[in-house]
Parts: sequence; C-alpha cells; structure tokens
Amino acid sequence: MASHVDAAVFIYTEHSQYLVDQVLENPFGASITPVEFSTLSRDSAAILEGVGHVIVAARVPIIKTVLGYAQKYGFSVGIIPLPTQRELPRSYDLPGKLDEAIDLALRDDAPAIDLVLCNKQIMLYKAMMGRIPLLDAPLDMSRRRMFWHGLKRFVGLRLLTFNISLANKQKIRTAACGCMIVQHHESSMASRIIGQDSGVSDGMVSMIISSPSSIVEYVRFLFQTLNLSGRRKRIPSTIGYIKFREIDIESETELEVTIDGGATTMTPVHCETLQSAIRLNVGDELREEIRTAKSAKQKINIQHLPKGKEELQKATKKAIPFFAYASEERFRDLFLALREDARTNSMYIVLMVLSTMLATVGLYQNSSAVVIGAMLLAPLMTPIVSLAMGLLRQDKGLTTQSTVKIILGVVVALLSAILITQMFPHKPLTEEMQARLNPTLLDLAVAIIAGVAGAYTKAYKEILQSLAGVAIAVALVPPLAVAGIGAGRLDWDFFSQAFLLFSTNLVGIVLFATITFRVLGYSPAVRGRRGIKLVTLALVLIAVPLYLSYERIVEKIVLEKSWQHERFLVNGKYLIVRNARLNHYQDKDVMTVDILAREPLTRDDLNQFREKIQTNFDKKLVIRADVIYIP
Amino acid sequence: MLFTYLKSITMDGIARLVIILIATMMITACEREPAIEPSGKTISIGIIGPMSGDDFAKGQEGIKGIKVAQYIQPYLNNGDVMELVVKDDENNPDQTASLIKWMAEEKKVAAILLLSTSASALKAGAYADSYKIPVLTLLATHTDVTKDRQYISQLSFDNNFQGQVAAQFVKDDLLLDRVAVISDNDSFYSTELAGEFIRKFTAVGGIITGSLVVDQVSGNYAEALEKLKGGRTELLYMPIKADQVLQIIKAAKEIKWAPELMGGDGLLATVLNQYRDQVHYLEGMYATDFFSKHMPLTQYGDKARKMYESMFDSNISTYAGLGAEAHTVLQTAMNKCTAAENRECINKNIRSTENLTGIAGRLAITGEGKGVRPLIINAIRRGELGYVVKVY
Repeated sequence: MASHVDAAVFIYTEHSQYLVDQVLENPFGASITPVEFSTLSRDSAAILEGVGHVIVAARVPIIKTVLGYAQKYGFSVGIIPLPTQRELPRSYDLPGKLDEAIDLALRDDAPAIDLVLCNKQIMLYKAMMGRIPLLDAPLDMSRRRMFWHGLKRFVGLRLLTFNISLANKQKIRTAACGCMIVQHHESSMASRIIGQDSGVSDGMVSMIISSPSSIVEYVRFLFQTLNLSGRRKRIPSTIGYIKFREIDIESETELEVTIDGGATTMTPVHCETLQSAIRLNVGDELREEIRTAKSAKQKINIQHLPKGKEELQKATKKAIPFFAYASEERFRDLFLALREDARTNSMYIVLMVLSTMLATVGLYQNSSAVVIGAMLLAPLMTPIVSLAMGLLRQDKGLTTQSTVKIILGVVVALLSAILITQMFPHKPLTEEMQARLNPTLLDLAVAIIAGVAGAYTKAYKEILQSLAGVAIAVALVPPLAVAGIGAGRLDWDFFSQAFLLFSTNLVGIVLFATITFRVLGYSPAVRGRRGIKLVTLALVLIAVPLYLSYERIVEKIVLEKSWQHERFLVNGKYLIVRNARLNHYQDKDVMTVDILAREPLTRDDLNQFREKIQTNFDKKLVIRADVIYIP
Repeated sequence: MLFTYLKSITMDGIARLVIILIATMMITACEREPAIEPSGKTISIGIIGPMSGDDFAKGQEGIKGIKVAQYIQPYLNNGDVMELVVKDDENNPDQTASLIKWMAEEKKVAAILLLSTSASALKAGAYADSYKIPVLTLLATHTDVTKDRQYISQLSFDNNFQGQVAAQFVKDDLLLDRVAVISDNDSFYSTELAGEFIRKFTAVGGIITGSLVVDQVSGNYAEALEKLKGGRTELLYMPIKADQVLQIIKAAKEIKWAPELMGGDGLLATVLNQYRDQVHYLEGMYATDFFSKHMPLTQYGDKARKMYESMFDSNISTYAGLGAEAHTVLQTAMNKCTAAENRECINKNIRSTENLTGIAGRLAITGEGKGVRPLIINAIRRGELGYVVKVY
C-alpha cells in the first residue's frame, strides 16, 4: 500500500482553481497549502524553500516552471493533469480520474527522473524542428486519416542539411526534412518507431531524424506506419535515431524548434539531459520501468541517412525524387562484389568454355538435363548484372570491365561451340536446338523478368542463391551454343536466330536490371541517361523482329494444340496425329508430325498426306513425318 | 557520334516512336474490304428440303444457315441479290423431282440448293441433268449421287469416306475389335454406309459380331440385342435414323447393356434439334459429323456462328453450318461468271471449287461433283455436342 506525504503545497491557476477543495479534502490526511501560481511567481523562494512536496495542476508551461523550482529547491512533485491535457498524462503515465490523480500526486515515493533541456528550456516530451510527416501524427488517428495526413504532409517536402554534434565530439552531417527530440513520448507515431528505448531516467536524449530519400521510400514508410500495430524492432529506412547525453543540432537555415507544442526556440539547438534531476510522481507502470531499467547505451543508427558530399548535394538540391539515390560508400559491399564480378579472370574463361561445350553436347544429344546443367555452370549472369549497375551509375570502369567480360565470354562460347561442331560430322536439328531458333516477344518477357530478378537477388545478400534459378530461367549459354553451332555449320540463319535470342536475353536483362537497381535506390547522386538510352534503343530494335515472330508463335501454339485432334484418311489408310510441331528454319516453316498408322505408307500416301496438310495452310510448308506403325 | 545522337534522344522521343509503331500496326490491322454497290437486279435461287415431316430440322436449320450467309454477304460482286425460292419436299424423292422441274421451268432459278437426304438426291440427279440446272446437295452422302451426273454436286463427304473413317476410328482410336452393325434396309444411305464400315473394319482386323436390320425385327430389339451382347460386342455402329437409334438404345438399357455407340452424319444434330428431351440416352455416343461448336473454327466459321447466335438465339447446328457453306459455295461460283445466272457457268464453277474456307476448314468440290472436306467425329457429352477428332 502506497504511503502519502504529510504536507504539500498545491499550486494552481485560474484553470485549476476548481480542484482546490478536492485537494484540500484529500482522503490521505495530507495537509495542503494552496498557492495560486501568480503569488508563487512573485516570491517563489519564500514559498518553496524547505517544502518537501508540491502538487501542481496547471498548463504545461507552468508545470515546467514548477519542475524548474523542484530542481532548484529539491522538493518532489505530483501532477494533477487537466482534462484538456492529453500528451502529458500519456508520457508520465498519469491517471485520468481525478481521485486517482490526487492519490498519485500525493505519494511520498516519487522516483528521480531526468530533465531534458533544449537551449536551456525544459522539454517534457517532445521538441520538433523542420517537417516530420507521420512521426508527429497522434496515435489515435484512424488509418484513413493517417494516410491522407501522410500524403498531405509530403507535398513540398524538402531535405535540409543538418549538422549534428554529439557529446563525444562526433559530428554527423546529413540531410533530413526534420528532427524530433523525444522523452518518453507516448502520444505519437515516433514512440512506436523507437519503442521503449526512450526512458525518463536513462540520462539520454533521444533524437529521431526523418529523411525520406525518395517518394518510393516515403510511400513504403507510409504503409509501414499504417500497418504498425505494435512496437517495431527495426527502424524504417527513412528514419535515423540517435541516443546520446548531449546533442547539438545545427540546420542549414535557421529553423524554429517547438517544444512540447508550445514554447519555441531556434536552431542551433543544444539538448542535454540532467540525469535524475527531479523527483516526480509517475504512474505505476512507468515507476516499474524506472525501477527495472538497465544502464542505457548510447546509440547512433543513421546508416540509411544521406551522407557524403555527393549524396548531400543531390538530396538538398531540389524536391525529393521519385526514386532514391545512393553513393557507392553506402553500399560498399555490393559495389565491391559487382566490381569483382566485372573482372575477367581465368576461372571465368574456363567456366565459359566448359559450360558452352556441355551445352553444345547437350544440344546434339537433345538432352534437357545436360543443357540445364550447362546453364547452371555458365558464369555470364554476373557480369551482365554488373553492366546494368555500371550503366545506371555511369561508372565507366564498371561498364567497360563488365562489357569486355561479356564480349570475351560470348567470343569464347562461340569458338567453343564452333570447335565442337567441327568435331561432329553429322548435322542434326534436335528439338533442343529448334527451341532456340524461334525467339519471340515471350522470350523478351522472360529476359525482362529475369533482369528484375537478377538485380533483386544481387541487391540482397540473403537471397543471392536464387541467382542460379534466374540463370536457368533466362538460359544465356544454350542460345550462344546454338549460334556457335550455326557458325560452325556456316548457316547464317541458324546463327542469327539463336544470336537474336541471346541478344534478347542480354538486352532485356541489362535494361530491366538497370531499372530494378534504380527502383531499389542504387542510382548515383549525379546520374546520366546515356547508358540507359543506349540499352532502351537496343531493346526497341530487338523488339521489332521479336514482335514479328510473336504471331508465328501464336500460330504455332494454336496449331500444336489443335493437332492433337487431327486424323487423315489417305488412300483408305487412317493416320492418327500424335504430335505436331511447327518451326521456322531458313525462311521456311517446317512442320514435323508424329503419326500412327496401321498399314504401310507408300510414297503416294505420304504425298497425299502432305497435300492434305498443305491445303489447310496459306503458306508453303515443309512437312516431315515420323511414322509409328500399329501392329 | 552514336553517343552524341543518343544523347539528343529524350525518353519522350522513344515513347513517340513506340506510339507511332503501335498506331501503324493497329491501322494496318483494321483494313476493310470495299463495300459492294447494289445493282438492283435479283437472281432466283431454289431451296428444296424437308421443311415439315420427320426430317423438318434438316430443312428449317439449313434455311437458317443460308440466311446467315446471306446476311454476311448480301450481294454478289456485281451487286446482284440472290433471291431465295423455298419449297418443302418433306424429304420425299418424288416431290423433290417435281420441285426441281417446277423451279427450273417455272421459276427459272439459276441453281438449286438441296437440303434433302440421299434418296431424294439420287432422284434429283437425273432431273438436274435433264434441265441442265446446277443442284448442290448439302446432306446427301451416297456415293452414287454424282455418279454419271453432270449437274448435281455434293457439298458433304460421301459414305465411302465416312464409312472408312468410322471403321478405323473405332479400331485405332477407340481400340475396339468387336462391333455389331445395325442398318435400315429402306435407306440407301444406311445400307451403303453400313456396308462400307463392315468392309473396312474387317479389312483392318476388326470382327463384326453381328448385323441387325431394323425393319426386320419389328420393334423387338431386346431379343436381338441379347444375341449381340452374348457375342461380346463392344460397339454398336448404327447408320440409321435418330428415332431408330433411340429405340435401340432404350432396348439395350432394358437388358442392362451399355456398349459403346456410333452413328452416321446428321444423327446427333437431329437428336439435338428434334429429340432434345431424350439426348441423355445418347450420352457418350460418337457420330461422324460436319462441325462442332467446340472445335477451332475458321474465321468465317466463327463469324457465321456468332451471327447465327445473334439472329436465332441458339447454338449453330450442323445443318445450319452446311446451309451457310452451301450458300457461300454457290455465291463464289456465281461471282466467277460474267452473267451470274448462267447455269452452265455456275455448274462448272461449283465443280471447280477449291480451297474455299468453310466453317471448320477448307473445302473443295471435284470435277465429278464430289465434296472434299474434313470429317468431324463428335460425341454427346453432358447433353451437348462434344468435339473428338477431325479427319482430313
């Protein structure tokens, strides 16, 4: 059972005069001396010196003054919140009911708490400078209102340069649209972002920095905030968080600093915490929190904030861009990996030779398993992803290195396939080869998706193993091997069709990996469009023959599907079509039909069979039949 | 230099280029044929078929198909209109013959489309030759319809083709070896088709377990079917009329026998049009046919199907499809003639029809008047016409 003070001074104002009688008649037997604040301000020393406990019911500025006296004269404080006050009771866990509030205010075991000063002014729960959309939104706001609030507050948002100095002399230069100092603030979204990390007795100042580097990032943050049901473990990427004993904040232009929604000061602002400076009767939960609090650690979580001259210049130059920019410094590991991928070495050459040879043999064997094995072995995907990043960032070194590596890989692959082709005297046209001789817009679609997937998997270390799947999906080496087979046979059409497929894959992956990196925020602060234009133009040029062949594939699919139901009666002999495949080869449409027949087919039967098929097609077909006899 | 040029291209420029390309593709895709100016002249075309009686569906549905084709292309190339003179012969060969005479002499029609079956067509051939009037039969499949005739042609395949296909479909697609054949001695069509089936089926190694002639058993099918059942018959081949097929199937049900079933052309269309309430008896039954709504149709076929559905608010039938095709064949033949009503010219052009796009594929008519077209095997599935295979 809590014990209460024997005597206390009750400081009230005209807004809380109605409470005097109730406080005087408190059920705890405490002797109360009511003092109106105007009287106190005239001679505070005479009234407060030697006083053990003070209760205050007034507006926030007056409460702060009383807390200032508490620090000076050493008395403990109890606060009876006014009905209009919302943030104060939440921050200090003060009860809403009057009798409970009086009970708490009169308790004699007030714990010591910190006093945060910003430019010498007491801050009870928050101080804000600049614009910090969403973070300052009240917790009880509906999701729909929160969404519109977030969108409205985003309009015209700009990042400003902030210089932040910490007690350990560390200096941070970043760009942000606003900052917020918080002290166990329980009323806004900010409290949810940092969770219970901001205590009232940890001797630290907590600071949240809002820096949405792009519209995409902001929208993501908006949805994260809307879905924020509990406290977060990870701080969103648009937010920086610093927890230190003292923090000095200087902004590029002078900014107004609003403290607890009222008093103001201007930047530069110096915020410090006076540890255990006062004793205040807080609610039981907060009291327990204080009792069990471990020693607080200083924190600097600013890895997502813009830093470095390049990023800061870009971030503060104009309005927030649609996609984020990033300096190489920020994603050092990724760029190091990409540079490594762009470097040509003997292993790459050996793997290219082996994978192409494997693919070529697999194509001759008509073995999907061997061809897939070759796809997995092929190291072409990595320099292509590096090239995409090089083009995006206009990094000449990365672009040149990866381009050279790709060209070298292509030449090696073609030569390897030519060599194998020369070793095989027969010239089969297997299904595996045919599948790579008719590129269409659908292949471009595969390349586009693979480009997105390739860049995405490269961007996140956790899913890097998926790059092998991307390599299989897009299959870079088999078309090269088919092109090499065509070159080896001196068959230009064979070569060009397969090489068109490879080029489709290459251009599709490069362009869409570039776009994906851009969306993911890997664009340089100073960007150029020349590389992207070049790839886009190549894509448009490649799309023309692919578009033309798209109709062919539709016709092929319709035919191949419908011919599962086709039969022929030639010279009284019944032929059952089991399968039909239509391929384009050397400007000719080749239809290969697998048929079942009971009776032996003569040349005349096959001619009639061919004529019957031809009658139903407008264009000339080369017809090949595989006959299986029914015993 | 390339880089300087590329630098000057904006993303807007690329977008414009793409839009121009797409617009060009769309414009070229939407090219239309020029409209025909009406000449104000009409050319009479005779339509003879069973508009009443047991086979009324053949006539009435055929007429609907002809009207669909007329709606799609109302004029000849010279702007003349084909006026239809429709007469009901109740599928009676004598009436068919007299109507041909009347149309040729009295109505001075340029050509006749005959919707009646083989018996009428066999008789019509002599009259067509006698009056030198081109007659195009839609449904007659008897092989002798065009034999030694100059002016009668078949749009359909003949029984020779149909019988051979049916026999080999049963043997090689359904993998059945033991078949009983039920035919109707009063029908030229039935006896010929049954004979061709038996000949081919046995030639490819099949066994005919028995034959049943419907008019000889005077309604006592159960006893005859018991014998066939005892002979381990796997399929009943029945090139007979729809009502006869229904009687046989009901009798088979009585003896708790459910063999596979197959019929001839037009059977399923007749059941679906005239015996809709009894279609469940035919569930799973195969039949040779001319179309299926569910098979991939030609562009023309798709257009005719949609037109039929919008005009008559029902699914296009086999007879209607043949009607539309017959009108197109005749119109094409007339378009090739300087004087569209020239019977000699029309007949010659009908008999040299080649590569004409029909409902389900290309069709042709040989110099002997034989129709060359794909045959469709359909089956009744869940009470509807299901597509099984297409035979060229």
